[in-house]
Amino acid sequence: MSSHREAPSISQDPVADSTDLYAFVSPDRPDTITVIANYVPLQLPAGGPNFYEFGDDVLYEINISNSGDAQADIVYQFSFTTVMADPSTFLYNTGQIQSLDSPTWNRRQFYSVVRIQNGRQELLGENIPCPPCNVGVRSIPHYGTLAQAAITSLPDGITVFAGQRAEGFYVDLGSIFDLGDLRAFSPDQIIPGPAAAGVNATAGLNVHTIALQIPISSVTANGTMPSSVTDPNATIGIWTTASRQKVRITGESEGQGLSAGPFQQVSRLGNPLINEVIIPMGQKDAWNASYPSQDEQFISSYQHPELAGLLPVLYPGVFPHLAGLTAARADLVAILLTGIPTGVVPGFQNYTGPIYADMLRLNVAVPPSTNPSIYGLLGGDAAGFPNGRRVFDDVTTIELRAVAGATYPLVAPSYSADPAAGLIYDLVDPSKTSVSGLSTIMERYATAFPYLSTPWDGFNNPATTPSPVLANP
Amino acid sequence: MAQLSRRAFIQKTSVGLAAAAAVTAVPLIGGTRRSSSPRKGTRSQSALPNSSSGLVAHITDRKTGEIHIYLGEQEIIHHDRALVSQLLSAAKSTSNS
Repeated sequence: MSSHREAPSISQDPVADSTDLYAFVSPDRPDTITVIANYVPLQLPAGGPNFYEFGDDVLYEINISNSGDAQADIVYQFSFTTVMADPSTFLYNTGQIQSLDSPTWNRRQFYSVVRIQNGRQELLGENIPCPPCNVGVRSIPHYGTLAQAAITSLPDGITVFAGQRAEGFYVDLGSIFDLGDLRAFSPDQIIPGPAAAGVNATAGLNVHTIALQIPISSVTANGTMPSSVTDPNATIGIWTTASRQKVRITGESEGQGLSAGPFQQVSRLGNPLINEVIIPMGQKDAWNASYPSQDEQFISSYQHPELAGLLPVLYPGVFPHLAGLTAARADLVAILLTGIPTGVVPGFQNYTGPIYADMLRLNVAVPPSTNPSIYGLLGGDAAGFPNGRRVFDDVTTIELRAVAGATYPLVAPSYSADPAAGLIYDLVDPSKTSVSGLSTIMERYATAFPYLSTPWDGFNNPATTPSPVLANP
Repeated sequence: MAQLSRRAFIQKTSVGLAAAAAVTAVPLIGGTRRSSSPRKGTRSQSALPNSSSGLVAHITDRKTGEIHIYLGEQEIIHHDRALVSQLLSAAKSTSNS
């Protein structure tokens, strides 16, 4: 959850909390992109008696801009409905759940998908079932097969899935928010401690996922596959939002309340970790309620990020060059607010124009990598973050290194980044930059849509063994 | 000006108005402005089976008589000092009883 509980108001509203956005050219279907929008953070698999759900009163949206104005040209809307089969029992399921329509499954969710494009609203699908939460091996003996049945084909070659998945984002939350400690570098911290391996705070947790796989020709401005990386139609901007109606009257029981008024955006997410560590506390709620095209109002936080000022203080003597870097961080503005223009990184660009906007910028002409590096572009892999974001990209380390000055030479060649800027990391040993190495921090991914793996089951997690266990794949 | 008719799907709206009589009986004073969500898309009413379609009135400025009326997905800004006075009197008499 690169953006979980990241603002005061949304931290009180988990079902509307955008936690991660991923967007990448699908590795097994490179004529499509996959967009994954996650919500409802930090799910303990043993989540009964009321397991996690999407909000029936929340409007979830995936927004795509392809015309260079940071406005949504295509919007996919998702709305959910919960159906309770038997109100007389306290149980989520009264027997084994063998299929998506098992009569023993008491609380099911369904959703609709609407596409808004060129001024038209089009219902792409309705009453699409979500899979159940992964209760445990007795309740759901074969969860993988069950969840697979929830992958649904929509018109125009679109595939959709919405439901619980294993959390794919990894981060040592405990150390980072304990005065910016990085466990491997604790001996150098201003309050020193022993060096230690990072602790993955999201290991064994689940999240709720909305995933779309869309033909590339459906999302580019000219309706075609771009011919090259420098094709002006090659880069799209993507962000997700969650909105609630302005007025909510609480009823005496479920279904008795009232929602009224226009939808008010309460959460948004483009690039990872922006509202988490770039936007100051006093502006986080406003950031969530505003649109990417309005992001110029926050530019000072990108040009002079607080974290860049803290690193030399927290690690005395480690970042002397960063300490002297007072110029506006044009590199961070480019990476996070406009995209990288042609000529800065050889053979790559994901520039969407001069409008400052927090969007995940994906150049769909860059093919999937055959040997991906979790460090993405910083690791020489242009198919990864900040070119979109794949589920396994180590966005925390990438952004840490960028903020620490590793990317400033791109815009100021005379600047020499501190050696530490290229060495610091959050969790994953830098010698293990392959995806397979993430198994050491208990992360696993799927090789096909929706690319986030089967959720951890509630019977075994919290783990009764040293590592999370999945008993019913 | 955005309209309720942006929703292209089945309209299942049935309005249960807590203050409907007051809204329709009192002549409009100061004009009514309809505003809808500034976002490009609006949500299909048929996709919101759990939201009932009552009306909510929020008095935002007693001096000018500004009332924000929430109905379905709309927010209607209405000015009517007489209506505001009537609503406040009703609330006061209820709280005193």
